[in-house]
Amino acid sequence: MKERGIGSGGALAWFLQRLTGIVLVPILLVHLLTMHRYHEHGLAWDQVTRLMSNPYWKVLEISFLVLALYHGLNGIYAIIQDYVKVAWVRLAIFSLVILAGLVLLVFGIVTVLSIKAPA
Amino acid sequence: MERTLRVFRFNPETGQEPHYDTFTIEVEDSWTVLDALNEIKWHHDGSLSYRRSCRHGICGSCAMMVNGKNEATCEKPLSALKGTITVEPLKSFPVIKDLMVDQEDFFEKLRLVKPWLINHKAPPTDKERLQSPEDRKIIDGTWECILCGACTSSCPAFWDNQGFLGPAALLKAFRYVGDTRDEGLDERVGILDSKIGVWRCHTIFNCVEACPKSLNPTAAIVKLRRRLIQEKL
Repeated sequence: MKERGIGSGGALAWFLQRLTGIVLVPILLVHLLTMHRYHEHGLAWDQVTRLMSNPYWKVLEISFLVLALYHGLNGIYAIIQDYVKVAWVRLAIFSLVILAGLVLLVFGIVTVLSIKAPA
Repeated sequence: MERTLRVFRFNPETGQEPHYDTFTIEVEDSWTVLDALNEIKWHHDGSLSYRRSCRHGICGSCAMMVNGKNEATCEKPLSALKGTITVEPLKSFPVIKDLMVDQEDFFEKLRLVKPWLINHKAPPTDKERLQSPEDRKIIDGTWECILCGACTSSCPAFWDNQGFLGPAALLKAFRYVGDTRDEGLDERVGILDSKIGVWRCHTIFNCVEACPKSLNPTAAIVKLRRRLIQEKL
């Protein structure tokens, strides 16, 4: 009965997974409907950048980025807890998940913030 | 009437690979799978090993896999099964011999959730610790568990992570956490909110399908989660 890690929890991660999941539904709908509605004529750079240059849209897209990254990577971490039994492998994958999350977060935020309206 | 049973056999002492033996026996209409196993043991092959005790669906000893589904064999009538009946030990527990599995770890996990009433007040001297019928209703569907292990053995989350407490231990945990007279949540939070606790359940509902007493361990786990979230956040 060893390796029974008691006390490390999972309540907060579980709760945040549900919360981010619920909040992601409307954000995802808004994002898809606005960013991809031009599909008929192909995505137009001008239209997308004009929309994304609006500070409100920037806030929405950054929220989308943060929530989706947390939701997705937390899901991967939950799968690791189910299937990966070797402690150091688990730690290694967990570190990679955190690293990937940070890199994607920085790239995403820089991209969203740097978009300017077309002249 | 004749029925054919295909029975899982394994004896670690002979070194023989696990295999199936087929028995065609004379049965009566009213017999259960356990009655058929008894017939085999008493009149055909005395070396067949399996657990059974009460024969009334109370003791939880005789759970086995019958035609791929976990059953309390004493409650499963032969008439409900067509053709050859395959009887195997509960999956994911180590097999000791034939249909008998090692449930030491299963009961150890049960002990971890402290399946007894924790109340630090002295009990009344003139009566028992009473509760209202409404309060009593909260734990309906949990106290009926006979600890046969059919649910835990059917749980895919347990198959892949045998550290997981499993549905049986968690159902029993809610039996006490949900009891209005119980004050032991603090003592149980550590194990319930751990890496092997309630968060490992992925609501697959195999346990609900497997339970021979028609209980719903998944619902109990969801209620435990709600309590833990209320407690922690």
